[in-house]
Amino acid sequence: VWPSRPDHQRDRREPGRSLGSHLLKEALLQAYVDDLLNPHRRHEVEHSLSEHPREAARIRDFQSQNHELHELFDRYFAASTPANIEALQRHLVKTLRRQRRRQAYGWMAAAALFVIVVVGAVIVGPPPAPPIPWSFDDVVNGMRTDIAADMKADLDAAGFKPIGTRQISKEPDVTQHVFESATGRRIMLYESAAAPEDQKRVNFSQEGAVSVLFWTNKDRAFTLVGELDHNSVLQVVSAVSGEHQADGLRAIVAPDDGVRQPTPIR
Amino acid sequence: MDSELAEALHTYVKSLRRYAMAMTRDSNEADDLVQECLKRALIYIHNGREIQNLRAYLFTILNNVYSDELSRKRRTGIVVSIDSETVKLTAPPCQNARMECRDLSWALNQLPAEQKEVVLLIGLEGLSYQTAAEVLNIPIGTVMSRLSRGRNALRRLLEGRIASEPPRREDNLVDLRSEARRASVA
Repeated sequence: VWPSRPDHQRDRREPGRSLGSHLLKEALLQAYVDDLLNPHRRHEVEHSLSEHPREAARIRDFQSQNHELHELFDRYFAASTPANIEALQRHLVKTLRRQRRRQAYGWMAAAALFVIVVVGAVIVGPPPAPPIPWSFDDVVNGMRTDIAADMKADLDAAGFKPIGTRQISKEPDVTQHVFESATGRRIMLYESAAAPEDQKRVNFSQEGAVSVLFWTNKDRAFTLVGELDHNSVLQVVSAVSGEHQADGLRAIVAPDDGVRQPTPIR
Repeated sequence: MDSELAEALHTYVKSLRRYAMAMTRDSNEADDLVQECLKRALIYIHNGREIQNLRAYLFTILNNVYSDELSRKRRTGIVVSIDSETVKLTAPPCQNARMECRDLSWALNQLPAEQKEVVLLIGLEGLSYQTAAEVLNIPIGTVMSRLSRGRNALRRLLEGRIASEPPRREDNLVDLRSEARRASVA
């Protein structure tokens, strides 16, 4: 640890006051005091200290300082928190949770945009799309659960079968469900926890042939993305959240229902 | 996940109170600092900003609030009674009544603020050098040199050797600041 120097220099050097690599040595010693060294480096420092008793005494003093700091002030850590600070603390926890949920929606929006812009061609294209790529690592790390085990909704009536579910984000929790029609057309359903302020929010838009619907059911939020006509969108909502909710969304998803002829599912 | 967040914040707030108490030696002042720190964090988040490292962020805010408060006191001066000052300057008794603790409490108060905060953040709160550098917005090398100077100064103070050694340039500067602060308080 100590820099090698000629003996005549080393002998006259006052511990902790030498020039040159003094800073490096001092940094090592301070890191030793704070227990930040790996075992090998720690052993080296201890070996060096055993040969420099004055330095060893100085380091012991520093370690005592840390110990005494805890003796002096740890009772304030153990003391109960005043009510006004506790109230602020609770408020901060709630605010941070809301912020994390908003980030979840950001994920969903980004994923939906990705699907529309990049994967859109796969959804529309007549040849069946390749299976969702997955790897052994995905399974081991829990990033993919095989065949839609988590999704209870049955989209058979809408003409789709589940082909996969994957967790695209653990924190915040966002899950992607993929369904496929008999002709290989795919739709994506993103699911996450709904923030309290968003529990009544509904948003429907169309990008060309692709419909995007955001809705919430109790404490869950869903985003449906796919080339679907209005009736098929409502069929999916009905399968996921119940017929009652599908009826509630009819005015938003299909305001011209009865006039426009739905496009049959290919 | 939510309960983890609540638990983590609970621990951080306790750490903040301990650190604020070590800096101010006044429980009311310490709680005011922590309260202001949490309020600023709430405002920060309400403004749509994201906090990456909550613990480091809270300590950063607390230090900023403390510095602001010190500057305000220097500018305006405060009126304090002799009695309350005596209470503040008296070291809290250790449970095992060790004299060393009382001496360390006294010695800590003699340190320049920038050395004291580094010694406390690392020695008491267990922050890494990197996190301490982020909290104080200074290079990690400065953290290490302040830590070393602070600990050596504490050691000299505890050994009663400080009077016999010429103070370093930075110590001189801070001594002048301390004098100015004391003068404004008086």
